[in-house]
Amino acid sequence: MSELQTGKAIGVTSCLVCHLIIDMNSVGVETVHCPRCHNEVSFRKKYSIGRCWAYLSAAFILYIPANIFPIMTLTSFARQSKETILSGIIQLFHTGQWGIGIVVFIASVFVPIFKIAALAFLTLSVQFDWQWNPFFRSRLYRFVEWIGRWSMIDIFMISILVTIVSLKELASIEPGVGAMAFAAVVVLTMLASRAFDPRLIWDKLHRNPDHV
Amino acid sequence: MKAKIHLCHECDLVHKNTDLVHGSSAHCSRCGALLYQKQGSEFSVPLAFSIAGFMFFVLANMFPILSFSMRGNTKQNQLIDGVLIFLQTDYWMLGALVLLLSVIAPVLILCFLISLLLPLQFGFRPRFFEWQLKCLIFLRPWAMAEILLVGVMVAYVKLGDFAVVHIGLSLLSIIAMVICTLLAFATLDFQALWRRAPFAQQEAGYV
Repeated sequence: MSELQTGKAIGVTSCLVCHLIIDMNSVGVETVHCPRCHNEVSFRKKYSIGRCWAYLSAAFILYIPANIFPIMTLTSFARQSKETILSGIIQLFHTGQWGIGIVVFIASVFVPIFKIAALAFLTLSVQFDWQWNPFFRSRLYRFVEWIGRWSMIDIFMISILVTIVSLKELASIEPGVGAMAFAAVVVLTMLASRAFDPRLIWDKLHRNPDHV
Repeated sequence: MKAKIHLCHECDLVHKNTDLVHGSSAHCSRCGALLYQKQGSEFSVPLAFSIAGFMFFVLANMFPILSFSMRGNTKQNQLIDGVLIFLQTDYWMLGALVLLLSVIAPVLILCFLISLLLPLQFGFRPRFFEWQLKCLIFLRPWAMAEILLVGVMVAYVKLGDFAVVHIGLSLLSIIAMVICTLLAFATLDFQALWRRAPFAQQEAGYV
């Protein structure tokens, strides 16, 4: 292709659900309902930056109780031990389970922080029209969208432990407040990455990058 | 009816729609995002994988995932009744989330696939075509059966420290179900499916 043209520039957009091409010039309004799948269609996702900040700040606030409060409590022979996300990982390392320990560390500590930071960086970058490397930012967004789901590992582990370790006085596991906050963080960051519109990265570029 | 152009969903660049070789995919020339994939126009292969996946889901509910014994007491964990116990505790909201992400969404996805592809295979038009396809696309990121598998592995390792734990047959069924779902999506051409949707083409101006 010789010249680069966006759909918005020629007044055409495509439905994000069913990919139908819709000619907005002939419609004359900003938002229409896709005639094929009835999804709401506009040139860009509506209020993308504001919605992204809302989800991100909620996720950031809940990330603190998710780490401070225990995610589960083990009661065995009338002795209670509370476990937080970090202490659970440290315990895995102490018992020599390095492989699983690293997987859990990446999924429950690294990914949530990385996701919040990366999405905040992306939102800032489109809000203030940063010109820096749109190709990298696009790839970063795709990576964040893909990896977000994997933080749920800890929540599924707790749900299995809670149901299986319920031997009355011998041993029982109860979920904790931290688990609730952590699940909310994962869901909120997934919603934040869906609210972000990656097309904004390319909209405000003064020139097209050289490597295209 | 095929559109002449295709817009990149991640940078809005206009691309000419070209016919691809079977099994290949088109990527955006500017940002590298996936534009569309060309699969066979037959829906029999994804249908077969969806039905197989659904059967593995039924199997997964007949056996325990993990069994745990301590001082002569044995406890087993099954896919659905495990979460049902969770729902009766104070943390029922967490239980509901786990139920939705690890059981309901994965099985609904398979059900939607079957109810869309089975009628098409025999030449009928599925009922609520667009609605079902939309639900399928919406639910897909929330179906986390593969993440449940890693969660089970972590639980297995953690329990191994202080009790005897055995892996049940159900875990293998869930692995098979995850693989079948992945293959069904990998062989399904969503654009070809959308083109089967009955809607009035002349309603507004489409390119």
